[in-house]
Amino acid sequence: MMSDDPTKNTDDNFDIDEFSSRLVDRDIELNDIPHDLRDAVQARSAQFVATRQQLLTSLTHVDSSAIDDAIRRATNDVEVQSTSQPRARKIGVYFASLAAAAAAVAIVGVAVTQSGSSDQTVGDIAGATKVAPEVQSAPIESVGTGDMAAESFAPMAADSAEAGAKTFLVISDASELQDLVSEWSVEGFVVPQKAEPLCDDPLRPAADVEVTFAGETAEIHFSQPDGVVVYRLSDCLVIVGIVP
Amino acid sequence: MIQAVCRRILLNDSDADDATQNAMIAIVRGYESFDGRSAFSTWVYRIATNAALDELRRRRRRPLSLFSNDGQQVDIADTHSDDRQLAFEASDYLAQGLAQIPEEFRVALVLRDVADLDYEEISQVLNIPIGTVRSRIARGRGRLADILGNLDAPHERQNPDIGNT
Repeated sequence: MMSDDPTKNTDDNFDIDEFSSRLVDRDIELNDIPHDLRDAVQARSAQFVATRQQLLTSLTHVDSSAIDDAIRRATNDVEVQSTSQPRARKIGVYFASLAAAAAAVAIVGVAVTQSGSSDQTVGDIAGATKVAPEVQSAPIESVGTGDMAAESFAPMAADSAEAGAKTFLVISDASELQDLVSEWSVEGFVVPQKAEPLCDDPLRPAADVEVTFAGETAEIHFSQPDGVVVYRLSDCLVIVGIVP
Repeated sequence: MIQAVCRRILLNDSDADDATQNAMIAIVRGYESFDGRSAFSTWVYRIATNAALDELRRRRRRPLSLFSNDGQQVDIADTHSDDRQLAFEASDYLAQGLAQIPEEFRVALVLRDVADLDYEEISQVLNIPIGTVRSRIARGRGRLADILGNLDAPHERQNPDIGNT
């Protein structure tokens, strides 16, 4: 696995990069790194730290008006949605929504403060239920989040398979596929199954996830005893498989 | 921070604002379904990341207008132009670098180095194993460092492995 000549090409440099990255994140200590790689890893780590610092601090300007619009639209959207619900539930949803919006803004808060909009408090934003006419008149559908909400909550609800929420997976290569198989093979882990798979595999049911493998839209079939096969969705040809 | 994450994933302010807005709406709509099994911030980042990825997918589906030799406008869905378009639109030095990194590496890197999430949180947000998180961040950092090195001073492109042993 370790390369004798870490300068040879990008793949060979990957060990250096992985050690360096994990060192920056304190996932490992310098003592965990082989002696012959330490100088190289330290030098590379210094580059990673410098870039990380730039990334952490670079976006100091945040367009607070976009955030304000988002909050107003979000709170308005919930009001419109909840008009047909019983009153008690409606009020509950409304206050819960404001609380969620306030908490989300609190996460945004640091960046907003950095932008110099310190006169606009979290309370001001979260309480801004008076909606601009153009926002009020926008149909809910135009927001285009009908499915996104359910999709967005998928990981948190994945184990309970709530509401048919679908997970989207991007898999770069066979090693990442192997990671996924390892996770799915853990005893007790239930892989959601697609009711109507598009590709035929008599041994392995299709997992109910949207998959992109190495840039190709794909369908992934998996069973514990028979392994995993990834089919390209356009023609159901096998892209890759890991079978016993 | 939601907006910052969307901006660094999408590298286009207008698209990032759309994604931010969609994320906010999803947060409000879905607040009741938050089951508390993860930190609230992790849940919020999950939604923001999905909103950004949805926006990326939408952007890919937009037709690209080209002009043929005879001056006719041709609209095509060019799924391969996205990265080049990103690099063209990128407004700053870091964004230009990020635009040249594959999407899956960029997303992991942004969650680590912009949102400052740890591996476990990123694993939950992206629903991928921690080993994959580690690997994507390392690859993303490696590529970004190389790209920024070239953007900065091509003649001084350093390979840290040379002269350090």
